[in-house]
Amino acid sequence: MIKIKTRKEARISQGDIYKDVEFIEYAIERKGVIEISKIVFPFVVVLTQDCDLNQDYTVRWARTDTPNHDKKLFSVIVAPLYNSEHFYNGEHLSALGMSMAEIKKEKTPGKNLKQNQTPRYHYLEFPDSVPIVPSVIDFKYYFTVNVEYLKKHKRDNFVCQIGTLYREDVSQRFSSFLSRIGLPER
Amino acid sequence: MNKESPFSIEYDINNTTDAQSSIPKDKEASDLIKEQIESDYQLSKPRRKLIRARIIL
Repeated sequence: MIKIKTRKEARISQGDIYKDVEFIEYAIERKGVIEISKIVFPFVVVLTQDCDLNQDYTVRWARTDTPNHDKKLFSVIVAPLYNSEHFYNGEHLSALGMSMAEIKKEKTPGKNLKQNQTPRYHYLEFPDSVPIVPSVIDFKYYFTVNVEYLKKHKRDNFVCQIGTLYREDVSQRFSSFLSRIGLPER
Repeated sequence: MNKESPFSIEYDINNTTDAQSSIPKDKEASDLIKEQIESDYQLSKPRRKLIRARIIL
């Protein structure tokens, strides 16, 4: 079980968990009609480095002029949390028409997932005070969200923040997964 | 049990006991909310929304 913080800070922080975050798949305009397709994720965790978020906040909201906008971010990296039971069954993206691999909960793959021994996945179990069921992050699925949208969204949709060390663990495993090298199969 | 959606702003406002957090500290209230959110979460997977609108200039 991880440790969490429930204190809501003004800025976006690494390890923050927000509910109902939208990902814009596309927005097209044709003959005066605009079509927007978006996916709403029940819960996401912020993965962007905390120092970058802190610097962005300082530059973006500082009342005094800064020499440049070198530290300002376009967006924040987030990854969805999936209900672990949906995840084991491979049904967590079924509402999007995607069928995922089943992971046998009681067999080695399921046990490895729960112990965070599988590089692609991160299992999180929350204390009773947090209204989130045991969840899994799939590091293959992440997206970015506009900074200002997320800051406004945080006001009413902040759930908690993953505690120090635990969030570094998520971040380190995420970056390791992204930096993996795929070798050709023989 | 509160009948508002746990994802609504009203729900947060009515259930907030700590000005710094949207999570009530009272264990019973927290359990109730957790139950409700769990049941919603069971149904609640990432979902797609499509919006079409005519642009008026």
